Amino acid sequence: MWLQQVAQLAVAGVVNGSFYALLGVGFGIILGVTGRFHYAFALVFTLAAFVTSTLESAAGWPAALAAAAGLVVAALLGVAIERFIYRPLALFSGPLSLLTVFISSLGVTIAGVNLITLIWSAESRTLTLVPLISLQAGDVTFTSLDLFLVATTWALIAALALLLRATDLGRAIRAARGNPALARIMGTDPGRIYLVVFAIGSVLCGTAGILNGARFAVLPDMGDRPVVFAFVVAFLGGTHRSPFVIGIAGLFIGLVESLSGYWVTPQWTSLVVFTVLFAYLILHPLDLRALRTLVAAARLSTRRA
Amino acid sequence: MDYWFDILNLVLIFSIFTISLNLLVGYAGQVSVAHAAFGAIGGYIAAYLSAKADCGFWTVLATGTAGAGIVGVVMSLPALRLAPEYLVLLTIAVSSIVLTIVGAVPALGGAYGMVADRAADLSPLSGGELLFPHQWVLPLIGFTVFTYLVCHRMGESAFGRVLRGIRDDEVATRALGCNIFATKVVVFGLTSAFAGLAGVLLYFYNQIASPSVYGLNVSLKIFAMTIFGGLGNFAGSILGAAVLQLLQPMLEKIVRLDPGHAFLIQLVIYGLGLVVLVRVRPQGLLPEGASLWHWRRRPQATPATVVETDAPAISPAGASPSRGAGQMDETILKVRGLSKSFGGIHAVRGLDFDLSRGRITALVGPNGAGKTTVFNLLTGALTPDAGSIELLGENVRGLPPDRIARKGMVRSFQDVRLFSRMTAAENVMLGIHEAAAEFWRWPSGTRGGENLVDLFLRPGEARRVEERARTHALELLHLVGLASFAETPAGALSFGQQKLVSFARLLGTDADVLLLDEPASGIDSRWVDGILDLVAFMRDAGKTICIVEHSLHVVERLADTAIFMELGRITAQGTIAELTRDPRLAEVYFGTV
Amino acid sequence: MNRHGQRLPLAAAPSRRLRWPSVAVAAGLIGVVSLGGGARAQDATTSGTGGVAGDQIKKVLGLKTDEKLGTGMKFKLGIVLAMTGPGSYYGRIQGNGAKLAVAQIKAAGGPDIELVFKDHKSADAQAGARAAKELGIDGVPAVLSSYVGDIGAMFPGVKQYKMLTLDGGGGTSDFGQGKPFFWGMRAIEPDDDFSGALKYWKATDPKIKRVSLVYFDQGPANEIVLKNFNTALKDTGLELASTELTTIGATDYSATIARLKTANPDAIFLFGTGVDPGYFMKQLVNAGLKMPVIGAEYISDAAEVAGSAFDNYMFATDWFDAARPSNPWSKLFLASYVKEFNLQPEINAANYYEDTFAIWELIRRVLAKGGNVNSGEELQNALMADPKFRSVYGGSATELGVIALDTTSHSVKQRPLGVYKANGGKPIPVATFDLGGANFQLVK
Repeated sequence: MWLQQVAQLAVAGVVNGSFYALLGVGFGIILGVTGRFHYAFALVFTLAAFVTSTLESAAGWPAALAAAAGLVVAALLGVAIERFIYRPLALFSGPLSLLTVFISSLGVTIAGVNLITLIWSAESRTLTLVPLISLQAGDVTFTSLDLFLVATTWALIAALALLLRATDLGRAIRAARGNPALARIMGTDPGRIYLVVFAIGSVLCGTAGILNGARFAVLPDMGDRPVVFAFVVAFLGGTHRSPFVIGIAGLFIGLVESLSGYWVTPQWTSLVVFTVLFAYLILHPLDLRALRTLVAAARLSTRRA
Repeated sequence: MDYWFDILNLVLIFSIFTISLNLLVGYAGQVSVAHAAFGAIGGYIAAYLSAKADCGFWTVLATGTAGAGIVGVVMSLPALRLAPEYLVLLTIAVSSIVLTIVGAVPALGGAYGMVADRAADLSPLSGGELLFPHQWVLPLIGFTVFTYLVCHRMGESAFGRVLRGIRDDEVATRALGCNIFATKVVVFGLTSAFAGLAGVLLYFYNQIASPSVYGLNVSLKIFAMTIFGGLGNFAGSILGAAVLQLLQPMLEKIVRLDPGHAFLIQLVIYGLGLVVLVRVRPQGLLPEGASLWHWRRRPQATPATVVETDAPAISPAGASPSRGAGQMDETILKVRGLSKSFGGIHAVRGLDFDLSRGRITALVGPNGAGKTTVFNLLTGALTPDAGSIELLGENVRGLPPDRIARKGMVRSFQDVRLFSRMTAAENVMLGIHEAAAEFWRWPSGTRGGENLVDLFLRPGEARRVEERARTHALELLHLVGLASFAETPAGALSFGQQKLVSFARLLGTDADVLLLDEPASGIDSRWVDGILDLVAFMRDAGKTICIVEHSLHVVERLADTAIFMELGRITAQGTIAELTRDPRLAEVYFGTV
Repeated sequence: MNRHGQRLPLAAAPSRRLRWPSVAVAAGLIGVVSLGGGARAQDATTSGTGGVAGDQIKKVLGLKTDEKLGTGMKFKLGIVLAMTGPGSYYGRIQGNGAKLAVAQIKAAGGPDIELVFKDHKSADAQAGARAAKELGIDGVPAVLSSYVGDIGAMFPGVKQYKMLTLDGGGGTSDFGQGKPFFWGMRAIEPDDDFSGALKYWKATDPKIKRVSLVYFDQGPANEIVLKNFNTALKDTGLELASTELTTIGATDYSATIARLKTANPDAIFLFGTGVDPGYFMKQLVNAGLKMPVIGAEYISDAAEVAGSAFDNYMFATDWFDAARPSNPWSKLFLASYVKEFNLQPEINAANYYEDTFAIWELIRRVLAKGGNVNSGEELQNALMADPKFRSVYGGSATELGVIALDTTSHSVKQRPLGVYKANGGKPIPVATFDLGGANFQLVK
């Protein structure tokens, strides 16, 4: 009996974990390459869902087309925020840019979410991506949407990993991520790369938003909790690591969150997740430090010849 | 009128939050988004004690503040070893843990929180029960002023200088002998305590403690107020709190539309306002060093031009003698069997060598030989796998960099690592410590403003120590020929000038052993001679010096002995003349002739 | 910036000129938004008289001609709702009800009531505390609150400034009882609701023996809810299968549903507010669980979210049935609301509508005694002297409904509740009952 419950929770954990993985990868690529604390991730997340839902219900578009439009809007919004808000601000703020960009990101989100509420009202909307069928494997139930979510998420993560590894663009992105000044000398314009990265990250973010809207509902505040998870997963995985690593981190968080539900009531799952995170942060630096001193030593020893 | 007092009261309470956060973020550079969560600890302790234990206002206030401070200290311990990015993650974790606990424990009211059943009562102080906003004004001003004075004293003192060093370059600060771990614990504990204080006041003011009062969005709001007010400027923190807190009531008065939309439009404008305000003034309303009254102005952080001069004239007159003047040629540092490997790479293997007083030893060899690794091992930046390091007869292997620095061995960095936002004089002063044996001079173990007891309880002593440090710093800057640049931000100096300041800084530590990493690299030839004179002068004054150098000219000119390293091993030791005569070494060093 | 304080340009040097275009864009955006906001006629009362003639109101309410109505007086009525945040939809609906009442009251010769709106940002305690303070400083004598006085944050302010407060959104619930100056105008959720629900199952389905309670965390009030649930189970001869705590506003119920699968109850009582039942039902049905569910709330939003999962959903609460107005005043309310807002009225609008009229009732009583209507204390005394008001709930074709309050608990003593089937967006009543499950009757 208990096994059945644990299995059910594990399945939920994989679904949620995949969702967190997508969030983390999208946020992570933006933060890792551009260094922007893109809190407005929540806004892109939400807008994609609203656009898709409206096009589907009010304009009668088929789900795939509406979703594509939502992703286009997401990408445009992300790129616009970087181009017109973050970049001028970062140039202007110099060493303070990390914090000032974060503040303006916060401002954009507050303004944007309330603007969405004004335009669309806070009434709940729904969104259908795939016909909702209940499925069963043994004693465990899930839906077609769950399968679709897991499949889409990991396909996108794999695609991004492939892009980074095997294409010229991916190499340019990784170069800009590691060493922007050097990248410029080698002929890559970091500014352009940043826009591309924001587009990519926003598409991932928008996908997560649309999936979330399909799973639950489309509401103006739907981005509040996801953006925190995006941040946590991205950092846990490591913003300079491969998308798969970040994805695993997301899966880990999702499973911890879900499985803890076997022992504690829902109000305590957050505690379990963050205590595990806390413990990880305390213990982890034991080998992290070795890694960092190695890196530091390597850097110190390969100075100007 | 009460309406405006109400707003003023909230501004004052949030000022306590922002001032303390400014000390943590603006001065110490530790980014935390858990500030409101510490307020929650204070507020909930206050609520619980008031309701269940019927405690008075002052007891509750003290307990709440102390409770938050203790949790802050506990949080800081794992934070000490974390990279800055992980610190933010840690603060998110702590914030979530605290808020989950206060939101889920039924005894703490669960999601609804706890409503106060009576008002705050300031007895035995006069004022009685605080019911109306106008009654709160004076007490809150008192608390805010107290917070300001304490944080200001900490920030604008020698302790504050250490904080700013931690902010700008932790590694360099540590290498100069500052106990950054203890300092971080202090600043975390103290700022969390103040957040707890503000949390208690917020509970009594609102008469409710609930998770939403202290949620993550409140932490972010406090963060925005602090940034917007100006990092490193406490008056700015108060101003930032005032502006952002006033924004919404102002909008309520201006935007008079259908209520269904007015509130939403106000928030849209608020959000856009944040974007515009931070764009127009990213350094904050009052940036670091600025003052509303202009009576004390610290130099600006971002200088406009690079200040260029001729090669400096080193003035040996008035130099300080070495600590514990001993015999020249006395062996100061003994290294035996020093080894370190990273995975399969043996960076350093079985090194045996000595450094003696009044001698310059050069460490030479091709790239990748392990020279800088040796410096890292000697100063404690890396832990050796094997071997012993004896400094003045004392085993220092395995000690942290700041302890080793205080025991008398310091190093310079190839990329200089000055604190660019501090003046040259401040840079030098950061290295100057007057050791003190008393255990209560904590956390630094030194006299003067770096330890809290002297800072708060013996201001006269702190002032005297600071004066002495300043005089000494100016002497050292005069020595290196940069006395006229004492008040210039280090970031504005040319690379050569920065190198000289870093030497002055090293001399200020009064260490016996100076490890100089490529002292003459990266500067033009006029300057090289000046620096070489300085190094020779330091040797003659009785310092034990070891330099890593690539330039043969420098090595020939300066070194008394040389140690040749290849692939982590010492393959030759001796005078320069001996080494250059060996054809094999010449080939290794210069390539095929 | 490099270490030497020199700025490394990423691209062309930033020009200050860039600042002004962004400000202009922002200003333009605000302008568009404001205009757009103003043009939304949906929420403004267009006719000014609230869709009815003044005489009609007086006749329906049965006001006497010699009664002092307060004509021409100015009266400030505070109203603290969720104007922003996830609950802002309900805030608007609640505001609609109050606005309609204000217009009709004026048309009927009553005072000129100014609604002073305050935003509690969807259950932000800080905002609620400030709202109470601001209203108190403003000298407002009466307030309509929601979310049970914004989860208690308003209690101290209401008490300190002596503002008579009626909560038509959440009533007093279990944790807001007996608070000075604070009165709840709704049945207790979920305690009153499940007493009816259990009786319904007992009366209609003998196969149901074991019932699970899914309820959200109210802190210390949980104990009261559990105690009452167990008592109600005992009274109806049913058994407790399991209890499942959830969090307010949760969207993901996978853990709860996994546990319910294990417990396998015959029926589930769901205490969730707002849209939460929608999420729950959607996930319950998708998990293949088919046992009957009766909830404590039904909102069109939740139905929208659940879609077909709400087909078999039922709910038991004091609900305003717009399809079956129960008394002449309900009919009037329904007609005028539809006319003014072009929407069907919901429970939230009905509550705030009748509560505003209740305030007018108190004003009239105080005037009759020659007292000061701007004193919250006098208004409360008038209430305590006769804690009964006309209601759009209950009653019959000839008589108006009555809502009665208890002077100790400050909660309702008399309020009609019902059990309804969701019926795909047009709920139909299947049973009626009173507080505590009394007078339970199936609808024929």
